[in-house]
Amino acid sequence: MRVAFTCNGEPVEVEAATDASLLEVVRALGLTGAKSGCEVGVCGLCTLLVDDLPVSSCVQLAPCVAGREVWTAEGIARRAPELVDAFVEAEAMQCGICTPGQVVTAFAAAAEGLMAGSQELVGYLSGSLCRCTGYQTILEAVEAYLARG
Amino acid sequence: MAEPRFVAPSSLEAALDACAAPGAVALAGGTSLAVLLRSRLVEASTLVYLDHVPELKRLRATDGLLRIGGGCTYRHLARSGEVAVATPELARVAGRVANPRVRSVATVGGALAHADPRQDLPLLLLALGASLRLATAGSTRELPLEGFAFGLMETALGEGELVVEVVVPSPVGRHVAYERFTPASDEDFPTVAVAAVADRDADGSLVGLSVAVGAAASAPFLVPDPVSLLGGGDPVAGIEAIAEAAADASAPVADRHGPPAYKRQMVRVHVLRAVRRALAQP
Repeated sequence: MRVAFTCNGEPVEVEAATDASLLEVVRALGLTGAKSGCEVGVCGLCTLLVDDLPVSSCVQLAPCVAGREVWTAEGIARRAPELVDAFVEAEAMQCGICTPGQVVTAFAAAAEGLMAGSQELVGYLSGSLCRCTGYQTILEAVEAYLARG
Repeated sequence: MAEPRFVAPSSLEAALDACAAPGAVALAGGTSLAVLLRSRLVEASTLVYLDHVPELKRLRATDGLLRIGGGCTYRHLARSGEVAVATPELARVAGRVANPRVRSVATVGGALAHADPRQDLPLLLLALGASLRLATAGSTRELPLEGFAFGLMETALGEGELVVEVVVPSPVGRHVAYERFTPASDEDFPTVAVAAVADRDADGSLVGLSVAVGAAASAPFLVPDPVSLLGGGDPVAGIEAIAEAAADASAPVADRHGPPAYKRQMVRVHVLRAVRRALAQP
């Protein structure tokens, strides 16, 4: 079926199976930042924003986003270059596979009004898994971004 | 099977009509259902997407009852002023289930319909004495939550029936304690979870006690008659009797988190903790 939505501020329309995931659709559009990890919504590699809220795009069926606003890491990097800077300055990535999901989550955390230094922020970010960094530099990057206001 | 049709009704009436079709499956947040659909464990001729049905999103507190639309998300519950006032533990638990991505879209009605015995919210709702308003295209009925779920993904929901509303009593003088044991990670399902709800009258006398146990049987269950087990004598012995009864009623399965005997002991420990906390509050 045809699914029309807004992706990174631009209108798009795709042909997708009813049980295709948003992750598959977005990657087919060339936005390959979002990654396939666990495919059950646990790891956070596929995190996207749908109507300003973070979702696991691997378990978001594509037709559900009809008429909605979707933002990927690519779009958020353009909206918030200071967020990308914060990740680079804190060296908050090694292999980089979790980084797009972490960036989207960080952007959502800011929108939720979460504060640097809060246990709430740590809890919010801990749903996005990283195998390389041990999380400390990711937390530093996000807190630096939040502190910029 | 051919890929399902997808419909997105914008009223409860239209949604119930769509759900009446043979092979129709209701879809809310999809965090449980999408996995089942994509792995073909569930097959659907039609997916009925509920997120645009406004009647399912209502949430209001009236006359000592919290009425939660089946389409309310965990995030909505966690941030709701009405829930924070009526039943703060419900808001707190809803705000900590899984991860923010699940909480963005997963709904209380969807969680109840899915019926995994490890889920936090259905267990807490059971201890709170919640009841459900269910509807099909041609009927509505109210059921107590007790007995609604009786196995993994097995509930009393009939063909084409939706959880329209969850009704939670929120009397004055209610004290709620939720304990979850997660030896793996905090985002995981609990290995054992316990909800204890104590009701006191204006003099501080105990007028009701409910203890629900989750992840320790094929469905969450209520410990039978905890008030009698508490007795009028030594409170320590009374609370231990409740913990013993809970462990006896458990039927935990062996898995990577431990064998049944270990889980039974965790039931005992966490019932003790939850009941002590619920009773300790003035």
